[in-house]
Amino acid sequence: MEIRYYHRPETLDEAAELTAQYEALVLGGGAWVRNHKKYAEHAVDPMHIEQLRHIEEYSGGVRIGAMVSLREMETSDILAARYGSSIRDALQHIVGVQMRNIITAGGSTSARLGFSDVNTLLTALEAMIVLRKGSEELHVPVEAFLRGHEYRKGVFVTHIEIPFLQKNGAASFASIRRTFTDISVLNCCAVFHDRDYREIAEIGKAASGPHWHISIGSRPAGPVSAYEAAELLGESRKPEESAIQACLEKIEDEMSFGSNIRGSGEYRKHLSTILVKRAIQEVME
Amino acid sequence: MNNRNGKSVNKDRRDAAYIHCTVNGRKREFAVQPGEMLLEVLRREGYTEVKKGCDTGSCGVCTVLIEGKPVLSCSYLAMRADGKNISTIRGLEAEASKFADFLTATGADQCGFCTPGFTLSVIAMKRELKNPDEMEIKKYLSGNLCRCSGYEGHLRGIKRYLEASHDEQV
Repeated sequence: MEIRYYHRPETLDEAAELTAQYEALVLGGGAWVRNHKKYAEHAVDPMHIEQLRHIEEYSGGVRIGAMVSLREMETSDILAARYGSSIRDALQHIVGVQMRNIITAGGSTSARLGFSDVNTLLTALEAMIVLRKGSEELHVPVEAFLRGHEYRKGVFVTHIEIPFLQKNGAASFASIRRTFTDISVLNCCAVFHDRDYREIAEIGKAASGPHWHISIGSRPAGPVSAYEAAELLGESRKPEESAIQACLEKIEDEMSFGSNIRGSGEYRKHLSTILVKRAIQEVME
Repeated sequence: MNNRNGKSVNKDRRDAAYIHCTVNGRKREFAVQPGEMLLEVLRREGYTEVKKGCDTGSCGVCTVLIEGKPVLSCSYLAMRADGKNISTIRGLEAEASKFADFLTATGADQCGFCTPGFTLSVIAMKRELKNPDEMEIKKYLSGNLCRCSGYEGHLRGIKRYLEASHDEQV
């Protein structure tokens, strides 16, 4: 890729200004820049913006800077303490340690790739994507973000906020891959949130009370939530066997799966119930 | 000359940027094109021990250490290396040679093309993980491909190397 002007701002305001002014390409990890043969007149590299490089707790959850590497997320004590092994399980098979030292939380989310493990994880964790649009800061639910809400030229991801699961909450991520480092044939994340749904007005979803959230990705299309199926699990972290069975049947009915080089739609449909069952069982433990 | 966006670009007038880094303990200045990957710069500057394999971020052959962390130089923007410490296999000769003895003793080293990148990953793993078990070793090194062997020899060599290093420290 050719880049004419490479900007290295040190503050978020400066980055926002440059991005808006030049409709610049905002870099994530930059690993895929090589694959893009196109030309960018202006690229903004946010790596020198200190506040985008940390994982830290805030009052309602954990905030991850866009420039945090996937390896930093995978090995973060804060994330492990708050979300168990789900974060590590979702990240540990992505290409290799050397690539995960490069690619970033912001870049992985922004790319909105169908096979993304990160976005399946963040969907079920009900994460918020924090965007910068000129001088404005926008908070968009990850599901709305993945559908293109508010994300366009001149707008870029600054943080990802994952709410605490609260009290009895737990999360589990599962994927099927042909080899360690290959893209998922199918991935899923099941989370029991021991708190109210935050409202997702953008896609018309809201509820109250403890609830399950199940997301399935790499279908091969991107992650979607199985809302109706998750509702069948009720408000307990230990649903009855019959409720789990009903949930799995609903997933088979509700979800659409496609075919590609890694597997047929039918195969993915079959895998989906097994993977989701494993994830639910892990959350119940 | 027109690019895809239809804007006129004069390649000759395109500014090179200068980055300053320390490679194997020596301070260096490199002229790079923004958008260029570190692998290209290192090889152009004579660090041909950094191998170019798949050039798509899959094989691990181009691994170098940046601030002690293993990264794929084919997927790392050269501009990001500004101000950083870079180690290639030549910068870690003593440690690499020690590991090579274990690797050759188990017959794992064959064509040798993947060895520099692989060795750097092993050294980084040794520094990062404490007493890794077999699964942890496999997970840490899964981004390094070898097309000659089936990895069994590698795994035996690594375990013996880690044991020997551990014994030395104790």
